[in-house]
Amino acid sequence: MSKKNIVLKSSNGIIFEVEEAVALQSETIPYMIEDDCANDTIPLANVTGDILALVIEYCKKHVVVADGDGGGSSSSSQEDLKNWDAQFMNDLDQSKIFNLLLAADFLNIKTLFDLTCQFVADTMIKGKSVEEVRRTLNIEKDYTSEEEAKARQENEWAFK
Amino acid sequence: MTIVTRLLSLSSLEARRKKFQYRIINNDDRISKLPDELLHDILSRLSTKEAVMTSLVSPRWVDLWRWRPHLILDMRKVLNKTHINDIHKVSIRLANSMTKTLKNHGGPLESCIIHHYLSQCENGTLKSWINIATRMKDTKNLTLVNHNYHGIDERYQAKTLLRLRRDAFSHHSLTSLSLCGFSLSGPRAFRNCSNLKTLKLLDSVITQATLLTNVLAACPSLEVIVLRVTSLTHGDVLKIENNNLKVLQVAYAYEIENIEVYAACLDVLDLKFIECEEENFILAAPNIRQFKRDYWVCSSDAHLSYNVSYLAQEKKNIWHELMMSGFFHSRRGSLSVSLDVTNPKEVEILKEVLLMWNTREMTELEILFKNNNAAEKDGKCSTNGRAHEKLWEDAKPFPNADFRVSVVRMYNSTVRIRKKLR
Repeated sequence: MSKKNIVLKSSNGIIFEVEEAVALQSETIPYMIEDDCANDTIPLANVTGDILALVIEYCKKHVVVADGDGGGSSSSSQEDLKNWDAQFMNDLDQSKIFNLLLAADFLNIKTLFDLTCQFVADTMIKGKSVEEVRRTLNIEKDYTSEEEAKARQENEWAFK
Repeated sequence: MTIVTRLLSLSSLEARRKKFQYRIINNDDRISKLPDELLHDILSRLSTKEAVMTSLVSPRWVDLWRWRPHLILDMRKVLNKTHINDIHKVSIRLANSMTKTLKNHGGPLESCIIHHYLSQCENGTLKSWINIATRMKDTKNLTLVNHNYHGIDERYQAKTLLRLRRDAFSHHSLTSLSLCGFSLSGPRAFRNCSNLKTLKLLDSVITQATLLTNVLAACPSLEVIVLRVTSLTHGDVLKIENNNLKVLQVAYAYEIENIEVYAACLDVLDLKFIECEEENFILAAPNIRQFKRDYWVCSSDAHLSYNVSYLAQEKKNIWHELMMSGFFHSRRGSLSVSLDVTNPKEVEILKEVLLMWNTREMTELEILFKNNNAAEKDGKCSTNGRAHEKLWEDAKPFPNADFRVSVVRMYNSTVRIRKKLR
């Protein structure tokens, strides 16, 4: 079986050549292949090279390799993948994480999108006080005390 | 790909491109610059409380929680810390705030669960919640739990009475309704409820079984019925007549001594701790009737009949989820299953069902093997038996060494069980 490669080009002109199976975890790329403008190289105007490298690293790890029996099996066990995912996310700073989230959404890679969203929810918001959330995410309060009191009053039951 | 779908896919691609143009993030407050849809997605992975709390973070965040598909409004945590004399007053204030939250939600709601107190039954709040959840927020799954359930205590029985207007639950979006801890007055609120597919009446009281019969008759499209209902009077009949019904669970149905079930499509029948005697239980359900063992051997215990094949074909196995949920202790009693051992999905379901008996000894297990006709059609009848046996051996349906059963009955079987079960 011949393996077809796909060439992806990041917004800052960096070229990545990957196996078709790796690239096709993105549900957006097939449409771009069919699109006439993308005969050889697929330009990804919204994704920078460093983020695209991360996306490809993830997709390579998660690619399902077809075995001889015609069925598919992942190259790693579920447990391994889970640990790998956790390590992968832990190594990233916030800027990378949010750009990765945007890329996963644009490229429509469901599992990477879920992983990133869940990571943001679990590590940056869950179990934290409002003040802690602001600090973790560098959010400016921007509320006057009247506005804040009003917002608090709106959903009083949740703040007790 | 047709031209239309191609155009559609191109336009959605275009939309995606536009959405993400000039969005590359490099300022300090990076998260607030994400598109709303992504923030909605992140917030829907938190509890309702945590998501609502983010409205205080900054004005940018004030509305983001409103688009989560699931809402759980729960006053228990506060009430548990409240002095008993103040509970009524505090619960009213919390309920008003919960009403605001429900109203503020952007809708539509996939599910809405409300945990509340006695006061909300009495002062009309419950009525308004139901109205908002259905008419305004197009809720699909609605669960209402009154945490002041005192069973058949007469004082409470009057207070927890669900006084609802006619057709209260008749709304096209509402497919699943769960009511816990109420006294049911009759079918009034359930009129014109051909929208409902699942109905659970838990820890509920009804003056007579006939009223329950009328409630169920008002919802002809029900596929799942779960009843944990006490009747206040003896003698009359609970009759369930429904050709869409697939799962029926009746548990702790005290004082209901006559039960009649006419359900041509019933695949799962789960009986637990019912007082009805064998001769007073009429069952017209061919898929359940195929089982041969005597249900009433351990009448005070539980019995589950499970026609597995239908469930294996179900995409989303909501029935099975239902069977697994709500068991605070391991199951007791007996099990009848009918399954096709050549179908791995069905064997998988059997395994999960057996897991429910994890720490208790099962009284009786009846397995009815469906004749898998694939092998026979190919004229390989002679190998069929051996194939079955191998499949059964490979399947290892018994969850672990802790599983215990007293009696096993097998029908249509070419399988010999070599393992000593006890």
